[in-house]
Amino acid sequence: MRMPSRRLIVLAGVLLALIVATGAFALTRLPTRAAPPWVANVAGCRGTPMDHVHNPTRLVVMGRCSTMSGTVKSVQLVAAYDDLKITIVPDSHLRRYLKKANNGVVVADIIATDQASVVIPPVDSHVTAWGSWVLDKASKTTQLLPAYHLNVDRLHAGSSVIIGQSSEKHGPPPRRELQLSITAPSRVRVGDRIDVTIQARWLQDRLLKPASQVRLFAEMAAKNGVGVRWKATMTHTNGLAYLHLVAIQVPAVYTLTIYAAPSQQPVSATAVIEITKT
Amino acid sequence: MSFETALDAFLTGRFGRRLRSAAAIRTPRRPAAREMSAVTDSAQLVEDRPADAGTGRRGLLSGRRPRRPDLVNVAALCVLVAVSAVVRLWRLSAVGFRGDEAVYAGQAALLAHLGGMDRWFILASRGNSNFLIYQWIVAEVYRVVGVSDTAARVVSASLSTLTVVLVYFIGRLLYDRKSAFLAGLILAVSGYAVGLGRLALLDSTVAFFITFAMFCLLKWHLPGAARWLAGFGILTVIATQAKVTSVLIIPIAVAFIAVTGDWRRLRPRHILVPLLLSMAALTPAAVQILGNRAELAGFLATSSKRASGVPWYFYLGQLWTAEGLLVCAILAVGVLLAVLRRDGRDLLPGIWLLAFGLFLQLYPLKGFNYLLPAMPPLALLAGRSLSSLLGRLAPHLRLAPHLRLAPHPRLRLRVSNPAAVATTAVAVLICATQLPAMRTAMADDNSAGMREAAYWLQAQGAQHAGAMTLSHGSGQYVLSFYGGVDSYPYGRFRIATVVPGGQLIQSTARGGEVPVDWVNVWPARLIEEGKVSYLVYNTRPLDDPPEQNQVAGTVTERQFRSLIQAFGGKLEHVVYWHHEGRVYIYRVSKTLAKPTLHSVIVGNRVTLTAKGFVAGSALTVSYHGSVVAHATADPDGTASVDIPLPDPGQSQYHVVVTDQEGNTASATGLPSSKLVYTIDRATVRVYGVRFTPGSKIRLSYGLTALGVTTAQPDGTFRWSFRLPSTTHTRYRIRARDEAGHVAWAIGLAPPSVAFVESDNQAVVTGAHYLPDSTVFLSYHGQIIASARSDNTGSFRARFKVPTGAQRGYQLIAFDPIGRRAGVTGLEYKK
Repeated sequence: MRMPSRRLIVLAGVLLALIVATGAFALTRLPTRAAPPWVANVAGCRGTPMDHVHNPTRLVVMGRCSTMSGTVKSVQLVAAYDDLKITIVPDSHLRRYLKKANNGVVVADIIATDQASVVIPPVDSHVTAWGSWVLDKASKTTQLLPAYHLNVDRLHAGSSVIIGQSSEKHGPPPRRELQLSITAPSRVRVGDRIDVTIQARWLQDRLLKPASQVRLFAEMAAKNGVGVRWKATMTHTNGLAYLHLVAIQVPAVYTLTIYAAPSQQPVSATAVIEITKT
Repeated sequence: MSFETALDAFLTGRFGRRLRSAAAIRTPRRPAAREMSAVTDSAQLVEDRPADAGTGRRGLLSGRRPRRPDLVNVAALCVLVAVSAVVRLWRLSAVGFRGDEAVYAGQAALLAHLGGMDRWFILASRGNSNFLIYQWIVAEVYRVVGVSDTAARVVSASLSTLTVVLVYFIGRLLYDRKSAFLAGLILAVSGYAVGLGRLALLDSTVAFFITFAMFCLLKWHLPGAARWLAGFGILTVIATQAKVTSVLIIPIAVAFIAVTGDWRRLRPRHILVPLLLSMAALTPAAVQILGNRAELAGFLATSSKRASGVPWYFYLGQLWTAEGLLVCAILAVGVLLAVLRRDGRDLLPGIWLLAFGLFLQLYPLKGFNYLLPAMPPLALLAGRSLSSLLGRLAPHLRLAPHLRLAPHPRLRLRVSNPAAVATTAVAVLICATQLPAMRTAMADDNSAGMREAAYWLQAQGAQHAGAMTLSHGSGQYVLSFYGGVDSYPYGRFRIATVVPGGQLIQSTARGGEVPVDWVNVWPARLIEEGKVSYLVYNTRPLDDPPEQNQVAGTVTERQFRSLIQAFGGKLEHVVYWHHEGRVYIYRVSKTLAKPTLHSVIVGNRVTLTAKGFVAGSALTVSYHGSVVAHATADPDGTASVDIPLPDPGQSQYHVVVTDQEGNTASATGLPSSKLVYTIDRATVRVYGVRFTPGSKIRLSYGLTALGVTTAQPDGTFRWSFRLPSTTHTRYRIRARDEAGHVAWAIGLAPPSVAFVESDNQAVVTGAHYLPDSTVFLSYHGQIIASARSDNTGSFRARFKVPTGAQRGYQLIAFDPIGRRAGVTGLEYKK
């Protein structure tokens, strides 16, 4: 059986054109991977930037290592996941990396586990931040998430620059150490509740006192270390916090880690929980 | 040899004289301008084929009764019907309804006046998508066999099977028996069509009526009697009422009639009679529109804004997922060859496919089920192309002798025919390769467990306890349909919701975004009001073992899980499907996500009102760490506790109520000793209240004792002291009486100073100094300037930076009472 050559050529041409058109169209629809470059500093670029980031599948990593600079517009703590969101108006040379939905600003997100080591900048200061450049699929904005290193370049970036300012002397902080302990069931059936009690206490002058109003970040990770559940909470006045998680998740062995960073002191505690099918 | 020439040769050579004349007409070698005459010519073809009577073709095309039944035709139809019916009806109700199916079945039951469904369903489409035609048909079935999911699905499956038959008939009219059979078979075993044919959705019904309308149009075109045109009109109206997107039939028909020149045959009576009959068929829609004008207008306002956030290749993806590789390839080749062939007989399926394809691609709202009306033309084009290819291959086949054996002389002719053998082989191949796709379609367990969950809730007598479940707008109605449960949705959607009792709630969209009322507003409110007691979490189909994102992958699913957690959901029941939990039923244990606590003071007693705790839970009341009372929460999670006013106490101290599960609410501000102060120039004036009358009160600032005073008979005192030279915002002004009442205040700010430097001129500002006094500025041990503080204690001074100023030297500002603050960083720039 021989296909006429002219028809064969037309058929092949149409097929080729279809493939090329489809490929080109798909390429144009792919998110652009442009991200600000990394500017070397004292902190190194993280190999696995999405560690401890809640629900990382909502993000597309566009640049694993990026540096941005700009003026701080606002600082907000989001209680749901204990994220510190620093809204920054980026310097002009970085604006080309922004999406339309960014509306001219970028959020540098300092996740709970980094807050002990990152300086919280005052509003209106000029900062440089290092982290991962990501695209948030829901808001269609680019963000620096997580931002794990931050330098305050200049306070009050307005016209009047205060060069010197006296500061209140608070004296040395009291020497105290936060102790965390977790009480959690070792086995839970799928769908049941995981009732976790977290006790936070200050060890001060050899005495243990309830640590109230301590912000806690809980991360449940699978065996391979990949986080699957995240939740933030705070201790009550009696130094206790309760997490009531519903085990609607895949049966497996998980590690629940509680992170806290009061007064820049990173503390954590873990518990192993097995979710069983029956 | 061209493709058509080869086909011509094949037809004339292998099928003998009886097809010769047909093939001569069917294989056009004409320029594009003459293309469309082929379809009109095909009518003549019927008359030109006296030898075709035995095949039944003549009878079908001419409208005359064939002289004797055609066994091959009957066998082909039987095969198609059997295959279609088996795959569409097998274990039809293994899985319960999806949300939309429940809505249609509920409306059908309402139309049949069965089951008291008017509490959850209304006789109108919330998405303005249809005028209840499918529901009417199901209602009639319900009247006979009663309300069930099987009955509603059997209607769909039957109409889907009949669509296959219609495609066969259309294929016979347009092409030949082989093409018709292959087209019918492709549709019969299409995973996509099978999947939808097994669901009680509108689409199979719509596809049937559209195909039937096209059949009538074709019959009229061939040419047939005007009654076919009337039939076309009536069926178009019915299809449009079954789903409004079927109105596309009209432009398809107009284009077809215009291109083929059939408009010349139209007479006024040809238009008037079908028009009148169509108007009559439009009665259901007219009645609904006139009866619910405002409601339907409201639905239109919201439904017209519905859009799906899916990629452009969504429908291609649906086909790829539902079909096997072979059928996808056959469909694609079918369209491609039709484009290359430019044959007038492909005109009707071509326009049909083009119209629906374009519309579905451009219409912003996309659904997995919307593509079904485009499947018949796809199958027709694919069947024809496949038949043509087989026609080219068949002459090269050599049949083994044993294949020539046949039990009946008439069958022997076909069996010994290479084309027939090739067709049969291809049919078997298609069926075999489609087995996985059909199996997937038949084992669709998307909604598994929800029916059983509804039955469980019904068995618990929870019909009026209220249940909320994940939904895209209709998912909750599964619980209502099966279990008669008052149900509510949880999710993001635009479509209006019929809440139990029949009330309609429209979602409020903000800035074009998908409304989140049923995530952020209604769920918490309904639980608080006690209208929702059960939270039903249903998962999607799970792999074995399941992936993490299959259990709680979407934001809405995670938020629903958080809702269950926030309201203390207790697992009551799990519905398993293939040994995996698919539906989890929780009962909320409290009515507020975060409990609240309010206090009312009457005399020296405090009444605490706690809300939102776990129902029936033991409550512990503590004040400043000490347990002061115990109580038990009511069944609605509230409790009222009366305690003596803590004495001594402090307004900053927390009164905390905790239940057995650790849910906590706290409050401060219980009346107690209180202290306030004002600064009057260099004097700090302190006022205290609620101390023990006549008691001695000791005052201190930081670690420095200030003095002792006595409380007045009304429990108050006054004291003043000179503003200390050293203050700190955290130091406390503290007062304590002999009975242990303590009050304190903080905030005495220390002096502060700052400077701005420009061109070796420094501007220094300071605050919190002695008001209306002279503030001196000392730099590196020398007084270099002074300034007058205002009545708030602030000052401003300007001076020239001393030559030799270095960053490490300190600039100190101090006032006459010794309050001072220092700053470094001043530098002389050369």
